[in-house]
Amino acid sequence: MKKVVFTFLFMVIITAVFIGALGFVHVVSKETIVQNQKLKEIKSVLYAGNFLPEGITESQISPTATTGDLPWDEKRVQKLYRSSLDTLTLPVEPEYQEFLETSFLRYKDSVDIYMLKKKNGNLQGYGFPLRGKGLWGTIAAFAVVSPDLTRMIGIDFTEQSETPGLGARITESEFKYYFRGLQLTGFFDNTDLPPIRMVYNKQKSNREDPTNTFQAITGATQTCNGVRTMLNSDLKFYLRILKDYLQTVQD
Amino acid sequence: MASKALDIVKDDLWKNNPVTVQILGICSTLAVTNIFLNTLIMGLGLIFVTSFSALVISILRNIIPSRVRMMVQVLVISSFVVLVDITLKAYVPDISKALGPYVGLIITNCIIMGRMEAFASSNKPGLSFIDGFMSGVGYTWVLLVIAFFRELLGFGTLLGIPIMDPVMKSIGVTGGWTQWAIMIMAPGGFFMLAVFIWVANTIELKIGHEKE
Repeated sequence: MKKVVFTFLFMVIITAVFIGALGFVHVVSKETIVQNQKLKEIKSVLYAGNFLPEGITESQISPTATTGDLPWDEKRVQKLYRSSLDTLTLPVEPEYQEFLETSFLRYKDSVDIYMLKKKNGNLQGYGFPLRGKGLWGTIAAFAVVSPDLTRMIGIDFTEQSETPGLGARITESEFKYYFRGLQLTGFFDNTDLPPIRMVYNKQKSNREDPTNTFQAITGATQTCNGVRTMLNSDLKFYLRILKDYLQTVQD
Repeated sequence: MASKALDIVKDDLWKNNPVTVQILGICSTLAVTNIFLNTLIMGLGLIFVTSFSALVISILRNIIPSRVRMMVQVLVISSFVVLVDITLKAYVPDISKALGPYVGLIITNCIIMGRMEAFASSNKPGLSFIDGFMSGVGYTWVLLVIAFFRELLGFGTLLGIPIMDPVMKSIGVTGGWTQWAIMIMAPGGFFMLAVFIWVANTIELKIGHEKE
């Protein structure tokens, strides 16, 4: 009996000591971890909205660079966040549910959309999160579309667990560049054709010659298919809800 | 004590290496060795967890009731792993994200439990700490060698710095380095690990023959 009581007390005490120590470390570092995540998200939205670090142009970015590799000045990021980003909360009415069958937004009552503003206060675009399936796991991204909803300003991938060197290259600037200027008019055409398509050899970027296509990564077809499906499914909803919102504002 | 410590060092680094001889920790060996930096961070994390877990278990060895000793070992190991995980998330978030679930999976690394059960629970704290530390080093150096070749051949880089492209161009190959994609994927990990174990065992056999 004595042995059982000792074992029980020993386990209780040692568990309390270790859990207490971990709890203390968690409390101390919680704020830093939350800040890191927030900062990463802001950088993604800014990159997708074509706000680059000061003195950096798209042509100076290495094709393999990710958003985190860019020489961001964290003070400027925070400043841009305060001055250039507003949040718009739109209700998800029951009529939109048909667009959300396979979406992560399915059971949400409302969605938050970032409104990105230029220096002069004019609207740069609308930004929102996307979520889809890759080859190995979830792919999450932030996309920014133009104020008239006809083209994509840019995209940034915030989460992926694809094969390093192949599917994981979706986070590199070379791949993401094909989404700058991507035509979105297909979402408003009444056809059964997918609004965004993937091609294997794209001669010109969408900035030079705007189309509804992006270039796939060789050896990562399944990942690129996942990106295409995610865009076609989530953008259909976001563009519809934004179009209705703009209509309401105009009226 | 000094000669025992020396034996531990020799054992963990080569003679009884956790990866090449005991074939432990293979899951993470295959998963994280496609990028050198990730491997280094993972190795440092494992060294920290193994050495301090061994120290704590050894200090408590005489008062831990034998019927719950494995529960206590898991509690101690997982606490140190969570500590590493939180630290990485707070101070090197990019590497924490790149390592993904593998930091948490250090808990299940057989090397740690193996050393707690086989050594720390029956030896003095100093020796246990050395054993834990050297087991971690023995695991890490093997992973680093594998990661060196996988990143170099797979990406053409080392610690993210382009190496193969400039080398190929300097010897007149205008197209530069063609990346060996297979080295980055799981089959490349299996292949490199098998080659490493083969080379290590061949050397060990040769040393054994010479001694005879």
